[in-house]
Amino acid sequence: MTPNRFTSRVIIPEHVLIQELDGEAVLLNLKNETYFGLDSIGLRMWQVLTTSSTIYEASEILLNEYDVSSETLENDLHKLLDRLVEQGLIEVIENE
Amino acid sequence: MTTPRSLDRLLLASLIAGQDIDLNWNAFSENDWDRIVRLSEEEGVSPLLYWALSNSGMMSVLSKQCQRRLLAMYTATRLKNEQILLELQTLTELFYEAHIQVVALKGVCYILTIYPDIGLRPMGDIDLLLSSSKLSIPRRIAKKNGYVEEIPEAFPGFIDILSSEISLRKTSVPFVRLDLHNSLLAERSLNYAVPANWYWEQIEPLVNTKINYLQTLKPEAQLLLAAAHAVLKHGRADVPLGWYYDIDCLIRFYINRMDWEKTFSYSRTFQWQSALEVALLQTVNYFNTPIPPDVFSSCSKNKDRNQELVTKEQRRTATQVLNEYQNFRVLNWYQRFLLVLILIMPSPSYIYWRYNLRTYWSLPAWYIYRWWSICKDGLGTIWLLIQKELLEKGR
Repeated sequence: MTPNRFTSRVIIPEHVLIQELDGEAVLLNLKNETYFGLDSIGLRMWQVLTTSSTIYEASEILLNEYDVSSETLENDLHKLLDRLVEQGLIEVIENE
Repeated sequence: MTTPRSLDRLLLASLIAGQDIDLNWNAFSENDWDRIVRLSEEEGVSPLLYWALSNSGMMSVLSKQCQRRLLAMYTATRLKNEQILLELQTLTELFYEAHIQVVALKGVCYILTIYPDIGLRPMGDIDLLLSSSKLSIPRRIAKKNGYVEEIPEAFPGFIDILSSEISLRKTSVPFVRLDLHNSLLAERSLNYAVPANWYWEQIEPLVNTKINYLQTLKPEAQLLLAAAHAVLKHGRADVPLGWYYDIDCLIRFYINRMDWEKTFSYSRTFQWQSALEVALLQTVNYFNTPIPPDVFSSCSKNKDRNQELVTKEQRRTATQVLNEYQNFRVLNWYQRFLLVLILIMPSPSYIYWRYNLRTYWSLPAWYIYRWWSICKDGLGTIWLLIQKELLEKGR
């Protein structure tokens, strides 16, 4: 089910570790031992997604930071969200 | 440039060992590097490759994608190993409180001693040797702390009577696997077992670590164990490069302490010379390890009962019945009785796990299936033995 971007937010599960290195990062899922590399843009998306109160808020912040159309940004953001969710590196939950 | 895997392996070994290689790196394409990086992942040495290429300034010749992959692998290994060491600290304290001595083995010991950085050696699990004659005691302690058995016990009390190791898995962060042993390389076939007491004569405190009460084996025992574990358990052809690198690191790290005479003496006693010889030959071949010149002549003086095991790839017995027969031969009568009982009537939880069941209602059918499989395997074994007999008579 596609999350409602206005009411959902992203949290980092307890079993995920992140290590930032020179503007990039590596995420490690301790549960299934998979890892995922983020480049500088991916890292920024991760940072904003995991600190914003909704996915919508995160996309608004990123839209202000990057010279990109909202369509492209939405597309990239959702691709990243899908891959991270699939690998158990984030969880998307509904705000109470 | 397409090269056979064995050549790639040699090249990879030279790269991680930081040896001077007379090669035109410009002729190395993106695909070539991709192949080497993939091989390093398969051989368990990608963090080492990252480390070596970074230190030699060669990283820039790799594509950005390969660089990222290596960096990610190194970082992920480091992150995971940090968690493993924290868990090790907790476990060591718990066992210490229960008056159980803890000896760190293989990976956890290596990253605390012979490797310069904890991110360089990927680890599958925590391997510990415990001074507990009954494994059920440390198992109880581990279970209280969130561990579950990887394989359910096939019969109550099985581990204390027939087993020298148990595998557990933590069900919460950091989700590590834990292998507890009270003897080493003395698995069910016991064909290269070493008296348990010998290990307790070989321990020394593990110094310079933040983990209290932890012990390790002396360098000679570590070398023998690494060689035997690699070659006897896995067969020469299947040993990942990373394990030979462990042996190289062990020898270099303890170069001034390693008592080669003692090492040979132990290897003769346990009939491990052939394993030691093969492991050392391969290690020197890959990493140019500094070994005294007379080592190989001392190794090959006597051949031992495991010669066949190390020169050929380790083979499984033709049938499960023959495999169990191997185990059977080394057990006493009570243990044999138990083994038969376990084979025929293991616990329901074991059947549930063994046949990957989803509901308990089908359990009786799976017992029947198990008995049928044993009978079928038994008949197959008899047929195989008859064929073998006829063949030998024909000769």
